[in-house]
This record gives sequence, structure tokens and C-alpha cells, in this order.
Amino acid sequence: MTIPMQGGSAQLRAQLDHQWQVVSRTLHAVHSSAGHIPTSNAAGWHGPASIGYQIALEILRREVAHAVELLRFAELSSSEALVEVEHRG
Amino acid sequence: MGSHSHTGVALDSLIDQSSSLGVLATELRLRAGELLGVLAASPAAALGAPASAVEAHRRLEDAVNAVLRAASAAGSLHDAVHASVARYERAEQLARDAAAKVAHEFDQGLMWLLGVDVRLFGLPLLVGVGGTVLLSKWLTGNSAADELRDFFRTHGRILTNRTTVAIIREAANDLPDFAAGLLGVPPEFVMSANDAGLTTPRTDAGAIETVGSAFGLFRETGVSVKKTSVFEFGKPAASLVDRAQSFLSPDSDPNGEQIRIDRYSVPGQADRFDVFIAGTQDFSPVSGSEPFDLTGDIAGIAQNSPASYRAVIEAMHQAGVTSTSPVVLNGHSQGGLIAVMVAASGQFDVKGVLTFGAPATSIPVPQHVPVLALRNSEDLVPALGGYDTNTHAVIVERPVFDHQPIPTEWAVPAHRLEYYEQTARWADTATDPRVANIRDILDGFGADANHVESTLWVATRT
Repeated sequence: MTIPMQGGSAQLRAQLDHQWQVVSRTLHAVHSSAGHIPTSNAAGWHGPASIGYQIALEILRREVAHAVELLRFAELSSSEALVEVEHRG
Repeated sequence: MGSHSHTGVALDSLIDQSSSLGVLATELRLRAGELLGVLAASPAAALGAPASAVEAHRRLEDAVNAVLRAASAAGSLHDAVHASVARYERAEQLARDAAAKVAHEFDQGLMWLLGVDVRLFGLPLLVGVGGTVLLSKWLTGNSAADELRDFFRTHGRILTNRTTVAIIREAANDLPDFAAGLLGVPPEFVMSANDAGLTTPRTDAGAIETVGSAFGLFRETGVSVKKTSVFEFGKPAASLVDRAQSFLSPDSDPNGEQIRIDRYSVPGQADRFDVFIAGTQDFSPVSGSEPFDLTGDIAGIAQNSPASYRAVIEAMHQAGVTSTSPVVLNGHSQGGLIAVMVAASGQFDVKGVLTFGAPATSIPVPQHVPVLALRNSEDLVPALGGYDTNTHAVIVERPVFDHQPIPTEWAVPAHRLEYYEQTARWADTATDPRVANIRDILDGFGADANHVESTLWVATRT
């Protein structure tokens, strides 16, 4: 999908700034959300149920960590793009 | 048996974890939605955008996909845990219903078989225990009772064991069949005994009481109560742990008081009373001066009128409790049995009953009286009452020795109040609405009091 640029570089700067802010805010929120993942099998499951639950928790932990990592990249890229657009004026 | 609420703390923890996962899934979905909004208006897709903006757009797409994947994983796990909670409760109910049906249809045969099982597998154990006790007695010259007690202390896993508890519950529920199987009596002879109605803990205990009395055992007596102390300070119990810590210790107190009654003065309202009843103090089958003894346990389960029950009623009357005074009854062990009996008597305006390890499962309590029963899974004492008959009782059960060693100082450590304090601490933080509902009633019972008077009472057989 291609959207015609409106308002030139000022509009682009504003959009990139908004993108950076949302990504940055999301990064911190998702990072904090990882605290909601149970850290142990406090539910008292035993045997295969316990192992399955621990594996599922570990997969979830890694998915959230991966999302945090990619959000960091997105935040950095947004920041670099913003700097470049501002530098160009 | 029925549809009473049976809530394990483990199940409660499962509900907590399900809730946390739900919060996480919602948070991630909301954030993914916000990012998608930004992505739709991304400058990278605009004509003439620099390469860095295109790269930022690509990175944003990757991040959105990752957040969506994490949201999906959290959502799936939340759904799975949530479904497990529902299944656990449903399965528990189904198991209970099935057990009731099976017990109804094949009662005698099953219990006979169970007795045979115990005879086949339990007798070698008993022989082993007996042999060890006798050998030890021969070696040391100590009494058999001391040796038996010591044996169970040092072999704690025999008594402190959930299988033992289950067997005892079955046996307590259907003692004649169980005993007949144990003794090798053919099942057809047992059928007629069951036709006579000898199938409940109540009738079994009554039979024990009757037979025992012929040999001078389990003889009930009169009882007197005496107020020994008055304390005009202190705070009302504000948690389940507070209540667990409010019981007296008759064995370590020179007066040996078993009953504590806290009177709460609330401005503009009738005085309220919190009654704390201690457990069995004397395990001898021969009645002495202590009413909180084995005779009291047997008579209580038989739903007769043990001296300890009459003593508590008398102490309550002397303390000023009337039929309209709001009352909460708390009991540990036999104290819990007595608390439930007092509630069942209908003599008082009981606002709640809290028991710790009480063999009170077969005593029917009116539906309008909230009952919270704390049980340690390895505690065999509650199992002596058989299966639960109160459909509205909320039962919190928790294994205490899964993550800590079984102490060897006591024969049945899981029954000790200190381990029930641990369970009370768990229950104080449990978020299950059924537990929270009764806890709110109990915690708020003395909340408005501006004056607390505690009286201590000692009961003696006469």
C-alpha cells in the first residue's frame, strides 16, 4: 500500500515522531508486562501437566522477550529515521 | 456428598495464574492494536520517504508481528489454564457424584473389597509395625504405647500420607463393611448389617461408643466450666491467621483452659462473641477429668452430647451469649467438631464457623450458616468424620509437606496448629470468591468493636 505524502517533510517528521513515541511507549509496556508471566509452577501441577505448563510458560516468556527485542529495533530505526529527516530539514 | 465447594489453594493459585495471563494477553493485544494504527499511517509507505524511514517501517512490521504472536501465546495459555480450572472443578464434582452413585449402588461390595485390600496389603504392614514395636520393646523395655508412638514419629510417611487419609475416610464412612472385609467376613453377611443402617460415621462411632462402654471405655460424664481469666485488652481477629493464633494451649498452660470467648462491644449494637475451642488434649479411651478427650471425639462424631460440647454451651451462656447474640465459632480438631455441633444445634445466631482439621464432615449445618473448613491434605483427623455432607461448606485443602520435610517429633504433624497457621496464611491471600466471601464475613465480624474482653474457661469432667 502506498500513501501519498502530505505536507512534505514537516508531516513526515510529525509521523515519525509519533511512531517513535508509540513504539517507545509500547516497548516499556511490553517489557513490564513480562512480569505478569508466572515464574513457577505454583499451581501445584505434577508430572506431565507440570512439564507441559513449564514449557508453555517458557515459550510465552521467549515470545514476549522476542517482541521486546524487535520493539527495540523498531524504536531505534524510528529514531534514526527521525534524525535523518530532521537533518535534511 | 453433594455440591459443596471444595477449593484447594493450588486451584486458587491456578486461578491467579490464569488471571495474570489474561491481563498479559489483553495488554499485548491493546499494544498490538496501537502499533497497527501507527503502521497504517507509516511514513515509510509515503512517496519520497527516505530509506531510513522505509527501514523503520519494516522494523515496525516485525515488531507488530512479534507482539501479536506473544499476545496469541498469552491468550492461548490463559484459555488453557482457565479451562483447566473449570475442568478441575467439574471433574471433582463428577468424581464426587460418581462416587456417591457407585457407593449407593455397590456400597457393601466395594467397601468389603476395600477391606480385603487393606487386609491383603495392610496386614503385612501392620505385622511389620507390630514386629518392630515388639522387637523394640524387647530391646528397650519401654511400654508398647510409647514404642508405637515413637514408631509413627520416626516413620512419619505412614501416617502423614494422603493415601492413608483416603483409606481412613473410606473406612470412617463405612466402617462395618470395611471391618468385615478386613476380617474376611463374606459380603452376603455384610449386606444384612447394612440393611440395618450401620453405614455412617455417626452410627459407626455410636457402635464404638456402645461396645467400648461395656469395657469401661468412652464413658461420658457430667462436666463443669469455670472462668479463670479476663483480659480487657487486645484486638479482634482480623484474619484467618489471627484466628489460628487465638486458640489456647491447654497442655502448656497450668490452668489448662480449653475455651476462649472474646466479647466485642460495638457502639449501638448487641455485643458480638468470637468463640475459640481447642482440640483433643487426652487420647486415652478411658475418661479422666479432661472432657476434650478421645471419648469426646467418639461421642461428637456419633452426634451425641459429649462433655466438651456441653462445656462450650455452658461457657457461652455464662459469658453472656444469648440466642440473638451474633457469634462466630472457631475450632481446631475436636474444637472444630464442637464448633460445628454448636452451629448445628440452632441455639445461637451463628454468623460463621471456621474449623482447622476438624472431623466434623458428617454433621449437617444449616445452609444459612457460612462454614469455612481448613484441612491439611496429610492430616488424617478430618478424614475420621468420613465424607462431607454439608453442601455449602467451603473447604480449603492444602498439602503441607510437599516442599518441607515431615518432622519426626509428632505422630501426626499435619494436624498441628502451627501447620494450620501456614494454611491459614495461604487462605488469607486466596482470591477465590467463595473463600473471599466467607473470609470477609469473618474478618469484618469484630471490625467495629471499640472494646474487646477475652475470657478463658476451663472445663472438667465431673
